[in-house]
Amino acid sequence: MGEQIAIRFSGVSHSFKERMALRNVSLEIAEGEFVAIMGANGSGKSTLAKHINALLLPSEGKVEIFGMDTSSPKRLLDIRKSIGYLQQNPQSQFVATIVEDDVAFGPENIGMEREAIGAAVHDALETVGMLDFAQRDSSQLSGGEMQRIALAGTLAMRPRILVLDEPTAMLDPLNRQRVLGIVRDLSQSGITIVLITHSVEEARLANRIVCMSGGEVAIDSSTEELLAAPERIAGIGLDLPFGAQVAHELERLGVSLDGHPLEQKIGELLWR
Amino acid sequence: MTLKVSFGHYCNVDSPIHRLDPRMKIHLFIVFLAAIFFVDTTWGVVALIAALAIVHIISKVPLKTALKAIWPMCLVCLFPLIVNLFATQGEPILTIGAYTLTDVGLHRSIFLTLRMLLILSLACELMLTTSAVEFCDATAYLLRPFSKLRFPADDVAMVFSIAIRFIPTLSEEYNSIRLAQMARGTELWKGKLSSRLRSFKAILLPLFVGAYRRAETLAQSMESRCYGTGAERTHYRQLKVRVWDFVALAIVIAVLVFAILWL
Repeated sequence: MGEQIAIRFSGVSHSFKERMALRNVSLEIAEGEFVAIMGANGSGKSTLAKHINALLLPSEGKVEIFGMDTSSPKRLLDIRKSIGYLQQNPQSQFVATIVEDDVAFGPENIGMEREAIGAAVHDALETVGMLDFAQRDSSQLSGGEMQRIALAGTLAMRPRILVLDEPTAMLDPLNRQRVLGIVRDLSQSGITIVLITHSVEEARLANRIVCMSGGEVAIDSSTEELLAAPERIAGIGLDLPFGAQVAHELERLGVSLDGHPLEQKIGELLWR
Repeated sequence: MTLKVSFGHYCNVDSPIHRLDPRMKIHLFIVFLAAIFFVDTTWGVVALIAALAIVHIISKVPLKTALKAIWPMCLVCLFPLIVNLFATQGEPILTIGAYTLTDVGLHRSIFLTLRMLLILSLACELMLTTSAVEFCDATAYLLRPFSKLRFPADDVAMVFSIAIRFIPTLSEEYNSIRLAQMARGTELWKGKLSSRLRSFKAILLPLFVGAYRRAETLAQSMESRCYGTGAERTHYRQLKVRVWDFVALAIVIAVLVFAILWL
């Protein structure tokens, strides 16, 4: 491939007491890739995500981030500096009451100079479209605004990898689209994205989909290939969205979408 | 009963009190607190209330916000008020059954309640005008001498500021759980005391579990943002003592000396 490997899982297993959460997972994610990790509840998605930034260490096997072993305490700072991790509940992720102070928390922890912190906070808030909220009280924000601020908090450390653990699970459709729009832009800017999601609709944004089942990698495929075979997704307990089902059925009947949005194609067909 | 605890809530407005160095604010708090304990006359307490009221006006914090923060704490004052009203020897004023209200009891209970209210109002004023980060940085700075004794000053300051930051959040969570349990038919305010306490288990248990989950999420968020990874922490907000800080200290000391010595 020639691209640098950002994340490498080599035979990783993880157990919580007697329950195996990950079983012999081997996975490589190249720098700049946008990968969606899918799976039913308890399939091991979040456990996998927590291994990426060394919040969990493997019981067996090895996780490497840009070649750095996550089990090496000496590399912990470098690993965490290069990874932004966003969880689903934004309110519980805030350390400070003022937006700007919270976004500055990460850069402060890695010992950035004051001027550099100011620039990083400004850039991160600008990226998520929340520059006007810098002096606001974080507890007074809406769920969508909070999630965008939490995202800014991870971006302020200028990470090369972004791990998003169901970031839209608690958001309304409008804010969901906003957050996903930012994620898409970040992916286009070259950041490696790992998006944990239940939604096939969201996973369509990625170039590659990894499906987890019972702690194992059940499917590892390009997005196009997987969405062309919806029965494979249904097999691991996930529903294909109605739109995708219609699109698949239309294509099966020989109606090509030619890359147009489904709604537009249906409109055209009805008009005819 | 809805519990809306705003203690620990920061009111984000621009005022001379907000702009004071947080370390100086903590010093002023300690000086003021000492004065509350030294003053032993009613006029002295009145002077301190007036001083705190002036501080509050300068702070530009809306009165409604301040009262919301203080009122749940006022319940704490009820116990000493009632005990001192009826359990103090003196000249009887009123008798209700086996309980006698005395002149000394009335004076002492009013005095003690005002003193407790002053302490709580002072603490609320500090919280309302100092953000969690400022509070953390100032506490860490003031505890720094103890670091030589291997005392984890930075971590203790962080824990302290996070605990304060989460008080309003936990109060919101309490109200959500209470409503959810009431929707399921839990009657919290009916029956004997023992059954009421049992009903409260239905709130306290999920509240505790929820708080634990929040703590876990927060810890992971902090760790993933490199907290505790060994790098030396820098500070975006630089603490800086200005002339106005010393002027404020001088004014407060002058008022307190006046209240202690002449009233």
